[in-house]
Amino acid sequence: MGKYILKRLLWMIPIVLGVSILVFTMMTFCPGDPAQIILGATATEADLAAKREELGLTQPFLIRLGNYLSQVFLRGDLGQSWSSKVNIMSQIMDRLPRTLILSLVTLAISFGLGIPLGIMAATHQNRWQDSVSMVFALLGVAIPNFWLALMLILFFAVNLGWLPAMGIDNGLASYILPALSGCMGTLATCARQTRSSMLDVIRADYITTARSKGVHEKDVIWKHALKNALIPIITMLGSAFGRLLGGMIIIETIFAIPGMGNLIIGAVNNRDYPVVQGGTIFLAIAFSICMLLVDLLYAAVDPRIKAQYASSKKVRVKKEANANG
Amino acid sequence: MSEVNRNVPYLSIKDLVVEYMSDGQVVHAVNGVSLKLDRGTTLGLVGETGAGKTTIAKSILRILPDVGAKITGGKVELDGKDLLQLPEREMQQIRGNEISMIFQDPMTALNPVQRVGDQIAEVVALHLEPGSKTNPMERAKEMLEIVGIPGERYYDYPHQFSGGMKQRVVIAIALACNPNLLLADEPTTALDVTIQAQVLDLIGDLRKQFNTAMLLITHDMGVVAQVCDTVAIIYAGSIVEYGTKEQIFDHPSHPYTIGLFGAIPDMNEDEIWLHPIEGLPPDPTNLPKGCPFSPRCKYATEECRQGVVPVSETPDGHQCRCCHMEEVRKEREA
Repeated sequence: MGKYILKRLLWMIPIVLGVSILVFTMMTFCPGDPAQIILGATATEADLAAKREELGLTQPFLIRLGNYLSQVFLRGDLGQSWSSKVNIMSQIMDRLPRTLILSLVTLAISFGLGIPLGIMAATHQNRWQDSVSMVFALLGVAIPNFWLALMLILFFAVNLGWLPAMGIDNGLASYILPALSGCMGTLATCARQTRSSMLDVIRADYITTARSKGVHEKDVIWKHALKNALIPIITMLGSAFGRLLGGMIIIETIFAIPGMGNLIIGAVNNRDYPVVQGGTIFLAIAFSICMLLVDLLYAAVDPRIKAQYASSKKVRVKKEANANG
Repeated sequence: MSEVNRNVPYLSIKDLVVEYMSDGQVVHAVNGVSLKLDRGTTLGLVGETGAGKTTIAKSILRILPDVGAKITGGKVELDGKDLLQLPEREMQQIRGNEISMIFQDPMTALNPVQRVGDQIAEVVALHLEPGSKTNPMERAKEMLEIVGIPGERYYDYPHQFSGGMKQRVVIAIALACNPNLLLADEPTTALDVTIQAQVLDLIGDLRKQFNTAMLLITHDMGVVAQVCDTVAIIYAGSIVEYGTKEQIFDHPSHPYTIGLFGAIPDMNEDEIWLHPIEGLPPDPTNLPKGCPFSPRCKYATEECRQGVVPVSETPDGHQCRCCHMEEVRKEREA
């Protein structure tokens, strides 16, 4: 198992390297002149040329790519922002936690409500509880989150005054409305996924076995069925987390949360290449780690998957033994 | 435990009717089945796939799928107490404790994400008497040893076991609380022939120890001959013939029973062809009027298709539901 984790962590190096090269190339070939944007419309041609020289844009592409990669991977330096001159690493360290908290709160709400909703639908298949949950899930996918965000602000922040309308000055409470607005899609998908996965499982023979043992219905569902139904739900959790990390831009903008989404969008608009590249590299790392966690979660839930992770090692040991013997 | 009443059979099923709803159609799975089973004895329930055997067993435990299946009539009396009227809580105490079930397919009957030992210990823990000193985990290990699996394999998962071993675990779960009634649903069908005999012997030994009654569901006449005291032949949800093993094997009286025997190869005869029963079982959403076997029966006459064929019983208790019983018997004996 330890070896498996190590192998996966090592795999992250080529992945992050690939992402860096891809983003660097895309930014280089995307239209718009960074010097023009930084200096504004009134800049003279001489100023622009000097700025380009300063940013290193006059060098050939491959040399710039090589310089950037050696700067990032050998010296661990993401450089500084072209527009604000601030160190990019410190900027990311400022903002990444906010996006992480927002994503985690969103996930917690989505899965905390989505799983019970899905279970209720599955255990009351074709009855009114099922219809209510599924209509709710459909609404969740259909409602645009910017509209929901505005409605929630209107109701909870403006009318009732319970929660802050924007900013991050009130600790965790600041994240509740953004998370509620951002969670609907994930919640709905989670409820649907839980429902279908539970429906498969509660018809399985081992569930009948559990009932025949005299297990209480509540335990049949929550203890025997849910653990078996979790695998597709965990898969969803992983991809949802990845989506949330990079995709909370609308929510971050509406609620004025200075997170990663805001940072990267701003940088793209300013053609602030180093910030876009640094931010993307960090998101890639966060995403890879999150996928690794999902895979470890699989192993924790399902012993058969755990056996698979361990077996690659055993096969190797056997091969070595054969080679030696 | 209640006092044993000699006159009342331990398990008595009376006119059980079970229906499934499927795509708006009613599937007549069990149509007025009556059975009796005494303590320590074995009743074989024999019939084709889809005849309603498993449905009967699940009805006794009330573990039919809650969507679509419905027990619409009859009684299931255990020691004179109607199980169908019990509240769910009391029923849960009976399941796994007083009555337990062995399932047909050991590959799917165990929870894949739970340790096998925990699956045995769970049933023990659920039915501990108040003040009992039994340790569920110890008992589970003991049960594993009893069914021939080393106790230290308590911590293994089902995927680490072979099919035969999984079935042993299923048996260990079923017998962990010393049930008085065991419902064995084709316990050997999914197993290798070499393992079948072992598993049957194992069930037999354990039953002898605990004086457990057994309802054995099977379509294997050889198994019936080996372990059963009484036999009920079921066709399309009705019992067509019912008697002691000797009565059924020596004097089969229903054309369907005789058809079943004809489909077994006989080592002593020089037979080239087996004699399968022509045709297919009837569609349970649309059962023929009268005797359900009549469309496949070579003896069938107008009389068979008129209405429900009554059960006739010989003085020694051999029941048969056929209009042409005498004719069949004479021809058979000739």
